[in-house]
Amino acid sequence: MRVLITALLCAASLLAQETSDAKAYQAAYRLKEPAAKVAALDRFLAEYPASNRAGTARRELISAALAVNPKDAVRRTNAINKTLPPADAADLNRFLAAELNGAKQLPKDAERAARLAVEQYTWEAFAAQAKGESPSRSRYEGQRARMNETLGQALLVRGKRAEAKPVFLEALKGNPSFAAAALAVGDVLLKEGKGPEALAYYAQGMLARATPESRRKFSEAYLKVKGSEAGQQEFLDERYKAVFPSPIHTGKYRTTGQRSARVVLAEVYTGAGCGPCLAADLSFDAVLERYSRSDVAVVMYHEHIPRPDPMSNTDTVARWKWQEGRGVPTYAIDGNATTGGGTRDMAVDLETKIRQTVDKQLTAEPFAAMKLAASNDGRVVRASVSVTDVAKDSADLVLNVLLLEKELRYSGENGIRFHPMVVRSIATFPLKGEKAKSETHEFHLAAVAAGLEKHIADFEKHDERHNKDGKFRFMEYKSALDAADLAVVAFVQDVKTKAVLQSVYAEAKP
Amino acid sequence: MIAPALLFALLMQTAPVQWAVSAPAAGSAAKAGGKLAVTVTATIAPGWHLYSLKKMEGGPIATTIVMPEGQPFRLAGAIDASAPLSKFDDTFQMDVESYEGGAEFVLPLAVAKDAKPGAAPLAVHVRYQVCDDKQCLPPRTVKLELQLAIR
Repeated sequence: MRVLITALLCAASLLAQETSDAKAYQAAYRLKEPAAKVAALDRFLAEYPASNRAGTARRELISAALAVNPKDAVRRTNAINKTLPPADAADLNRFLAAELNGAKQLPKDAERAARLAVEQYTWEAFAAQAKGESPSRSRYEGQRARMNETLGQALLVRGKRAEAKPVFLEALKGNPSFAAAALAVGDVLLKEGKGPEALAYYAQGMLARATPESRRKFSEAYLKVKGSEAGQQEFLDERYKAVFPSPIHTGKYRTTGQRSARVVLAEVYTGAGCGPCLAADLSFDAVLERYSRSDVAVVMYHEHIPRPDPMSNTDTVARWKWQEGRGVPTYAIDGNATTGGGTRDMAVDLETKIRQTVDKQLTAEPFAAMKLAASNDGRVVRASVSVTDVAKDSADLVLNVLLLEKELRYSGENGIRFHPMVVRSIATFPLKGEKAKSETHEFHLAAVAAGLEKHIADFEKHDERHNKDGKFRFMEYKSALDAADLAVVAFVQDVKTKAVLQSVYAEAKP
Repeated sequence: MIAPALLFALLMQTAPVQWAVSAPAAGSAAKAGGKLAVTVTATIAPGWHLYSLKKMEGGPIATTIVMPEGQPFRLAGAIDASAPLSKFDDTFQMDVESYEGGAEFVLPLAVAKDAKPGAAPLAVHVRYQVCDDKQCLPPRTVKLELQLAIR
């Protein structure tokens, strides 16, 4: 107890060691009266020009100055910018323009500031800001896209629709995932009477980052242009494939002389509302492309982390608890777990790492032999599994049998649309030290679907972590099962060490 | 015996945010019907982002601080939070307000008029969620307690 208290005191002392610039900034930030805040932030910036809070302080100062006198905020921005390197000046100009756009104040000044931001934000200016680190081209493009999006909004406020459109398109060229720019192009095109073109951009905005608002915009435009909702999903599928191609290109796996009889199991814990899961999801899409199912079985457990995910279910939530995972994405190759993903740009490096692990594992001998046959009459998927030649002496071995939906379409907050190998139900059977076991398990599809729906409906009533007040609603339910698109994966695992002895995959075609 | 600093490092490994609640003077007494302020502090491990109190549609989960019912204290105004950093987040593709390193939240409290004199534990619940550039941890609720007195 004493050690714990001391440890907590360590935490407190760390806070106490907060630097003087941080303290000064906090004091200025906390002032409620805008004029006093402006004066305090002015003093802060004069005293600590090199503070790592200077950028935030400048924005906060301009924000407070806008509340006092917008013209003064413009004057101050210009004055501050004379002292800044071009990339920082661009950042402040963009901020001013965005604030003025939002408040619909001083539109001429907003346009001027936004234009300056675009001019100032060159690659050279960005690279100079990198301070010794290797500057990232994609990050630059992403930031520049923001500058263009703000300029586009400023032009719209001034009624310059024709001028705004190419600026938004430029933003999308730099960052196709920039939902706000895509939706703005959709708005412009719709006002120009170009419904079909507008629809394509509304789709892009909604696919990039689905929110209730972007979904509503797309659905309304679709109904207006097409006259009905028919074909909406297929339209989105095509647009997704065209605009968001995978950055990963790997060839097919070629069997080597060292290939063992092992079928590698890749278990992925992910979330449709998890930004860093993007890289892992794209990487395992590539794994599914590269390897056959007799080489690698991939299963995706969806979790309500960090945001609620309608593809999660009671079994995947329980599996996460069992995994004792730290965060998502976590992936376990034959039971060996790693946590970490990243942005779309990081997917290529992550896939390389995963491929090396999988290739190595394909040469490792399995510790059991397995056979699996799956039948599907449209109502029941019957999985018959036989396990033989178990080469581990352990009382902790279990046979897991998973029902998978091979592909679900759902656009969530992280922009992934196609979700492969989604785990819908899990059955577990202890081996009890047996060296061979045969098991037949029936997945009754109506019961499985009812369980999926109940989990989501219960979540909407209450969830201790996400939905204490019962007000949360999913954008979409994904509880219906497509009986024509199912598969089964079975594997033997040591529940103590988490090592996977062998796996097997089978289609469950009706 | 584990050194406190090492234990603290281990704590940060398992939970990248460490929370504490304090009053200006520990054990300080508040008057029934009176007011006081307590401070909730977060110490954030390097690389992690704790999100601000502002709700961000389609973005990360905002931090929420609530006072559970059934105690003689209630929130009596807006929480005075540290200045968050506002940055464009590559993973969420939007401007996101977050804290790095640490944050403070000052809670203005009112003491119930009919509060009985004596020891009164204060309970504060913080719901939060953190991500770094490569992963997001599950949302958590921490239940903080502070021993106060009512005179």
